[in-house]
Amino acid sequence: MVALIMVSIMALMLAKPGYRKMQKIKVYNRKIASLTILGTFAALILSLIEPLMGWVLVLCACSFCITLYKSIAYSSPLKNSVLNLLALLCISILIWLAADYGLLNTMINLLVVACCLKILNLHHTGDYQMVASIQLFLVACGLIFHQSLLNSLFYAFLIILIFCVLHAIKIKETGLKTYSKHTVILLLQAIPVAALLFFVTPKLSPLWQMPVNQSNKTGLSEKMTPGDIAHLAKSDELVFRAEFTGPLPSPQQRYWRAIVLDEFDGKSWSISNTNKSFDGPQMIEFKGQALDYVVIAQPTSTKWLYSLDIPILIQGLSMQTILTNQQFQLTGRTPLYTQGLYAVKSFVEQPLNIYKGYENLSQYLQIPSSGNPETVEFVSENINTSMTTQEKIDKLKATFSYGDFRYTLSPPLMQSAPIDEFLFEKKAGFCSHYASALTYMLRLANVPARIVTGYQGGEVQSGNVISVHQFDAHAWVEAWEDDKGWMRIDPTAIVAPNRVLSGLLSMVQNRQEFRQQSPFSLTNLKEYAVFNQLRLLMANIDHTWDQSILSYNQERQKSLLKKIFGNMKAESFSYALIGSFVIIGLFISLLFIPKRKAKGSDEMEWIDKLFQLFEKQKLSRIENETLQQFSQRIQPQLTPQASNALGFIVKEYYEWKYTGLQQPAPFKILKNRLYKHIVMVQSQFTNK
Amino acid sequence: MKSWTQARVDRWLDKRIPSSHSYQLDVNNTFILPTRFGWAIVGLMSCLFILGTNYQNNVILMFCYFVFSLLLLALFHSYVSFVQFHIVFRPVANCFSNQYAQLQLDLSHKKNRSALHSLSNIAIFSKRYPVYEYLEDGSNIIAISPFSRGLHHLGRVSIESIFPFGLFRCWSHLTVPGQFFVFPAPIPCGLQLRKQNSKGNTGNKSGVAVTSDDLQGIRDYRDSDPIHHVSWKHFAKGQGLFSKDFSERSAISGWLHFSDYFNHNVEQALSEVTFQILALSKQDANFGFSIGKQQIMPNTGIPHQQQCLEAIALYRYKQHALTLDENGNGRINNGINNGIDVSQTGLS
Repeated sequence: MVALIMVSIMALMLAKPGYRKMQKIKVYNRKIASLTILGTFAALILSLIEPLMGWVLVLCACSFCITLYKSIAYSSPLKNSVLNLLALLCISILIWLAADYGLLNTMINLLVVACCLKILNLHHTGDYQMVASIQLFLVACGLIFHQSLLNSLFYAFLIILIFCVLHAIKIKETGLKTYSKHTVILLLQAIPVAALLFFVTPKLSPLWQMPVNQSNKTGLSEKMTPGDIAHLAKSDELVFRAEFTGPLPSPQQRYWRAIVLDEFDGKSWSISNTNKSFDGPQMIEFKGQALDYVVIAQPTSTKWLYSLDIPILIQGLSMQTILTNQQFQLTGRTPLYTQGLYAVKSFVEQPLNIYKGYENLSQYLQIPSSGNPETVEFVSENINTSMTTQEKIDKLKATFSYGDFRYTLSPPLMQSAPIDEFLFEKKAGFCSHYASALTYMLRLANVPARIVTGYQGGEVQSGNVISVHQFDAHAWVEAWEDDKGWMRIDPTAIVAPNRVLSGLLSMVQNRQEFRQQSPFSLTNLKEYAVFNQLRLLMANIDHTWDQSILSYNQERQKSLLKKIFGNMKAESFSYALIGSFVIIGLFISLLFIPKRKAKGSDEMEWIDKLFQLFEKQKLSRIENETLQQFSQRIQPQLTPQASNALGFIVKEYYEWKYTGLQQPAPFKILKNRLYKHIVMVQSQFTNK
Repeated sequence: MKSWTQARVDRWLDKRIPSSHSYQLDVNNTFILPTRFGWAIVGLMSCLFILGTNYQNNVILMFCYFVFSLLLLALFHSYVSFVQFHIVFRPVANCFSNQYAQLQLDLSHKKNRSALHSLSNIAIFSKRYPVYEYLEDGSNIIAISPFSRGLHHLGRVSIESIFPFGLFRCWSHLTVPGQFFVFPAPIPCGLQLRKQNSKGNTGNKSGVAVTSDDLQGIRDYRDSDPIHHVSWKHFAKGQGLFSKDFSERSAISGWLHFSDYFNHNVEQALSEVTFQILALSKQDANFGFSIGKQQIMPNTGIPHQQQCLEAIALYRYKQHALTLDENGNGRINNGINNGIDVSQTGLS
């Protein structure tokens, strides 16, 4: 498909505007139209700045300036041959670079280049229309990357502007206000139909695999060098939200597992290649209460998903299957390229010993053959083989309690022997330093241990939702103790207990560091109660958006339709579809029906009614007869009282109509005055 | 083959939209299809659907459905704004071949048209003539193109509107009723007038100025009478307009013979004769005109001038095209008009 788009755009770019008629068609409201389209162009480029190449950005800036100048001071069109040559050059560069940048990025770059070049020559209707369609496509590309409520609103605004331009160039010269109002009315009329279609049209599974964006999205990585997670701490990007149906986990239980790292090369931890699947027990019984929750995960660069220990998957993602493995992890087959929703049950009280006896623990004792000599010496001095596992763990944990360690977001560089330097020189670090050092020491002491990275904590919103941000990224240690299984040990909690209980930003010092590094984050406003509430409100709205729109999938569609129409069979589902189309048809015809009927004035209605009154008595009006002529004609047939009353009515009406000077009295007053006379005429009829 | 299908289409159109002076655009004479841009948007919509489905991106899907419903709405608005218009064609005026034929039409719209549709623009164009113009409310004069000498009719012109967003094109092919003459462009030359003679063929070739003082009497004023023949004396007395009737009312009289101007180039000669007729009429001359087998007896005034000019326009003019008389009935006129007294055709 991408190739198809590329070819079609190439064809479009190179097509000579040989459509003679198109050229002749006048463009109205030219100045406003070109300035608006320039504005939407700039906004789109800014929102898509991430996947754009440098030279494309330079091209954008150039074409922006030229077009701005051209739209203010009218100038002659550029030569098409020059533009076509330039287009060919750009396209060949893009195709050349396509392999490095990935298809999706290349496509976006191509669209932007096409828009850049086309915007230079805004002269005919066709030019505007082509630029508008490219921009609409760019909006769609933007929506691949950003789907939050604010971004969606931003793109909706751009769509409105683009359609404003399309409207403006073809209608009579009017004020900006008129046609923007009309455009908005037209677009608003489209929304109910669109919403109905959205909720009713069957949701399909992906038709084929799409190119995935190779962006450098922040997130946990599969290789951790102590200090790595610190850069995540500077980001307040949302990672996922978990909505609980039952009670929330306590702060100490909020360890969101993502990746288990088990191989150490002296500097960094990674996932070993050894096979970690094994035959488990037939039946597993879980102890304790389960927590039920739904996770709405934001797009990420890794395939690892998040859950509390021990997760049982209830409902997977709509676009791919989720795997559970024996390291208690949830993984997708590919990274999440769009928001995903899955439901999990977690047994937080169950010790991680369910695979006891099945697991091969020797791989968790792997250590590099050399390096960090001081640590090796330290462990061999403190630990002897006669100690129990629990004693060894306690002993090594104690290192951090009495060692004057410091928790910091900006740890000093530790190059040659990182663990030695950390433990005995710098004594300052981030969670990954502590986890790394403790795991290494445990392995030296012959205790199977591994590092788990993930997120810890999260912010509670509206009672049952926990939002987890990148700055909640955390690393902790799991050590094997024969009775209890894998035991979670968080060395960071020993050094900075607040980090675990109330989050990273609870510490003043960390807050200052965070502020220095991300000065524009809204999270900085946490201290001010009003702003914090506002921020939480926004987060809530955002969550509702995620829940209702972004995560609307086949399952939800079924349940929604079930709620409305009762139990669904395939048959009744198709009825529902047909029904919805009928509703759409009715809606659209409703827009037009009232306008067909001429709305007569109050006065005309009154006169018609008066004539109808006589018509009932078989005194009908001859065509085009005025009221006066009519009354004179029928007078002989009326009783004296009735004819008097009618005479009065006619006299009053004509006086009101023709002698009223500049501003006649409202018709209502006259109507009320004449009412009793009409009743009089009517009563004479009935008496007869 | 192409002309055959074209003929079929034309016949179908004639049946569907019969020729008329005034057209109310409605469901019977309106066509509607997406424009090129409309098709592009349909393509965009399908791309959006694929993107939205494959990325499981609900916002893009929403965008897709929005575009879809917008297309539906545009279809309706396009039609409704188009059928608000009412078009009245005025008869096309006769003209000279160096002038543009001018189509006059009045555009009006229904009274209860909504404000939303009031901005809709309607344009006129034709497949046959290089015209594309937007119409204003009220009377419009559209210069079509210069025509060659002869009797013409404009045939079908098209009007279109792409009102909301240019997604759909509403159009109609309307026949402009009536025919018009195109006279040769006048070319100045020397006057060659034969003396009035009962035989008409021989005589003095130079123009003879006849003095015209012998007053015969007074008669009612006719529109064709020159202003200097008006009896101002009677007018001043309040008795109305009378003309002094002279025995020879024109200063110049004689026969204008086309053969006197003819040398190789027929069109050049016709242009020169046209000039002479215009000049003689301006001088209020009493002249007869002989062209080919056709003779127009001496007379004065605008109708006479018209008759002469029409004879020139139809000289050796073969008309193959479908012509329409004033009642709107089509007939094929294949006759060679040379020699037919035009005044009998009822077209003057």
